[in-house]
Amino acid sequence: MGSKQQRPISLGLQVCAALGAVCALAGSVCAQGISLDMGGATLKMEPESAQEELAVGRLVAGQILGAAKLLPNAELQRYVNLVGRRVADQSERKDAAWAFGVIDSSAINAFAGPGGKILITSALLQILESEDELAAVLAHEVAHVVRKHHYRVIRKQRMLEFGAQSVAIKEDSSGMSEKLSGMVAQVLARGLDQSAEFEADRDGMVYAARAGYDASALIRVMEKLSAVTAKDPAGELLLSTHPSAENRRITMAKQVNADLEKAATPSRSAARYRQFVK
Amino acid sequence: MKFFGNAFLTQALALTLLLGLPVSGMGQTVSVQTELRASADTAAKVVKSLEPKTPVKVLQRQGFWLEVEAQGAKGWLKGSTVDMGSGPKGLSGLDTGRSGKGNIVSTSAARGLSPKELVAAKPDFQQADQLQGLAVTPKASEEFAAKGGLQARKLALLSPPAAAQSAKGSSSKKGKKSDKDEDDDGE
Repeated sequence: MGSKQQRPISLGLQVCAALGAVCALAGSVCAQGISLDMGGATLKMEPESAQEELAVGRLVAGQILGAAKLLPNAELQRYVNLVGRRVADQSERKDAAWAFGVIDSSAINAFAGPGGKILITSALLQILESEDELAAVLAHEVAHVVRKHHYRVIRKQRMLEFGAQSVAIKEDSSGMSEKLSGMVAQVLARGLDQSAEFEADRDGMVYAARAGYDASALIRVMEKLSAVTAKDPAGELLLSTHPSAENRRITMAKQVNADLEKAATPSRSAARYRQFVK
Repeated sequence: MKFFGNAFLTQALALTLLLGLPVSGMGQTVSVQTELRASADTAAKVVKSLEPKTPVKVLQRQGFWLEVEAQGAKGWLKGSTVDMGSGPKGLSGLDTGRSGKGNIVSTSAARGLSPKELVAAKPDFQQADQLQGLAVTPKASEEFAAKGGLQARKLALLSPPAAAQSAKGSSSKKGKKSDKDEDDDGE
């Protein structure tokens, strides 16, 4: 990388928009790395890497944990990790650094940090009623990680905001850490495209069912979430970053196949939830 | 109630779930022409044919099916064919939720996670590292699953729906993601 890397940050909006369009239309290209000649300034995005994904995940988790801390309940944290790992091990990324955490927040939500850092709020745990429902929520987040939804959006956004000067996301880059965290926070507050949420619902149902849980549990969670409105502070972020629960319920229900129908029965461990969340 | 920073609204939600909303008279209708069946099975006997917008009263859910009352008859419909109406409603009233704070009680006041609060937060990387320390091994998870009687199933991922089949109103200001992204994202 030469000195030209310092220039992209001053590129105009049109160039950024063009780059965004290229990324949006060519996910595989972004995955492999892209190089664009912009009137003498070369923008180059390095290929995705597991190391970078973990660093982005740490930024995401750090930002959320800056707003709400891990709940100091070791037994509950272990339980959620056991359920989450069970689901994650049914995914296409068993080898990711999966870690699950309950955060102390009155907001009803859950988050997927790239590389496998999953957070769920205590308020959401409170409205769930079974291990099947917990598994369903965690499976949705696992699906985001497997599909690298946030990782790719953050990579793209980093390129648009900082250009090629931030070739790799490292929290120890002098002066970049704060800027990167700010950008990550904006991405989290803005949310993903709705199609990514529907995709995570679709995959999540399958992961939960593969793990032996009730394939319809995520539908049940949506029924509960339909009682939350965007006017509730508890649901503000969830509903501003996701399609409505009713829309998600119907969309999932339409996609169910015969195999999933057969898997739509409460698991034998459904009631175990009560031992840990009372 | 120490646990919730804005306890009022969360309690209100919990109360809604606990008490339940009436499942009738909430604008639940059939969204497409469909058959009311004697049991939750596409091969079950047809009790009645229902036209779009026929009002239904949802009685219970079983898997992806709903038992309903419609036009004086009881039977089962696929959940995807029922429009639950708008606003707080739905099946949340069919089961009891929980209103107690239970054992997920914090030692400090709970924090909100509004978009503003999230953006204003100062990152906490010490907590992020603590999070990684909570991870369990696949072996521990396997033992846990076996203890709970969980049996793994072999299931293929579902195909993305055709655009025309997506739920009514699924498009939105943010819903125009490229199809390419979906196709390329698989591992």
